[in-house]
Amino acid sequence: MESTYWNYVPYPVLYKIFQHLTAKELLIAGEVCKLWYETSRDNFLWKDLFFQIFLVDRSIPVLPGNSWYEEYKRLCYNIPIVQTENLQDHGDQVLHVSFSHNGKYFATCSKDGYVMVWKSKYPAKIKYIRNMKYFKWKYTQYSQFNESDTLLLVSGVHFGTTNSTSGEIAVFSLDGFELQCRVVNKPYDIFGTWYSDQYLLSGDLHWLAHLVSSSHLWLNKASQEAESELVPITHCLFRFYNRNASSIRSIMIANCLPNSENVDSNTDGNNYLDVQEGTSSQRGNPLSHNDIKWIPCQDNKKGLQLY
Amino acid sequence: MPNIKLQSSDGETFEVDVEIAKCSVTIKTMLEDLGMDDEEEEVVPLPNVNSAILRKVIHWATYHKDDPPPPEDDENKEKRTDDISSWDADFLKVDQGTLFELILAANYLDIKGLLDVTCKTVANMIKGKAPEEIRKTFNIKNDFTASEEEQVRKENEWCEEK
Repeated sequence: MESTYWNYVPYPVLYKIFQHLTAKELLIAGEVCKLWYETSRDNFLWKDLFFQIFLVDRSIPVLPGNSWYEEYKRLCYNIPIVQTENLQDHGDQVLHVSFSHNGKYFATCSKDGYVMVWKSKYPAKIKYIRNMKYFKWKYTQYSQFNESDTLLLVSGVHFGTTNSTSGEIAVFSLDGFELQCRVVNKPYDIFGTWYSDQYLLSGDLHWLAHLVSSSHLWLNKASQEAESELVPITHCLFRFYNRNASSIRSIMIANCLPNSENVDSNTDGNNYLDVQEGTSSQRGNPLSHNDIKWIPCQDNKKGLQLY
Repeated sequence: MPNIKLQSSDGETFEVDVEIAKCSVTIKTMLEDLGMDDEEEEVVPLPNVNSAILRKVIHWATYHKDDPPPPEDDENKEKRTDDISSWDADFLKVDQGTLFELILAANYLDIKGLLDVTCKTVANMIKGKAPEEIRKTFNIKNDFTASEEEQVRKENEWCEEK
């Protein structure tokens, strides 16, 4: 037997052997000799590897003009998927992660009942931590930074019977993590959301009769220091009559609208995005709403979506 | 049980149970196409397999004669190489030349089970090795020029540290 027989192994056999290699092993095998190199670039080998690693529907074809090898390389090499750290501080499943707008912080909510605010520098460090079980919360489920990244809305689920839908929203300042306010939130999966920099939306549910209820959406001031007893800190925005045991389950603010100053106040809802050029227009949310001086149905500066 | 005779490239004849011989799709098709009668004293020539290898192949096929038919290849499934039975592992503790010829024989005779297990064995010998180590293990001649080799290495850089 000649000593160099592996240089002449039939292609289908080499193909079958290479089917058992990982992408990296396959590439290394391709550095051995010319025949192995050719086989290591086989389109069908890479197609199999591709679908093993990226669980894409097999009916989706590769980009026209690309080989499966190139597609595999593109997804592995050009898209940064590097695990930088494994954070193990939560004692249970993490349910939600939110990032501050300036990217300096992120907040995590977990079934362990804690909310943690992290500095998102590498390595990530915990800046604030709060055990919400202290407030009779079962777990924290959602958090959201306000526009100016000064306040954090944390939404959680209350302890209670299995069918209880009671939850609560707490707002913390990001300068010292002082508790700013607590608002009841029902059902808890409404989550709550910032309406503006200082105001947030929450939900409430009242049962009127069997299968009939009314959902309320409340606008709440994040810091509940009242300037005067005549100025309300909460404001009922909407009441919805729910039949057949339905209720509002989610609220969302469409915050893709331009700064209110730049919107022609005479335009109606069709022209939300009609921003005049040349003005110092800023895309995105207005930086802050100082007061509530509006009535919801007339307000077309902000889109309020209800589900 | 009817037997058939298989003749190796070097002229040696082996008498084998037909059912065992039929684990080779090549032999099975040959028998069906030729309409060979079980009683007939025909000799099936196998010009690509020598007696030493044919003996090993028959040994393997006899041991595995009651195996369920190998499952169809599932393209979505990761190909494992750590599921070689201990009997097969022992069976394949042979020198490079024999292993290579066994693969060729399994490929030529179209015996899926034997081809699978030999390919896995070779794949395991490739895994975790650098190109130079692979060449040494399999006695492969490096037919790249220095610049070609460098180019291939460059091409492969993207996969490092992954």
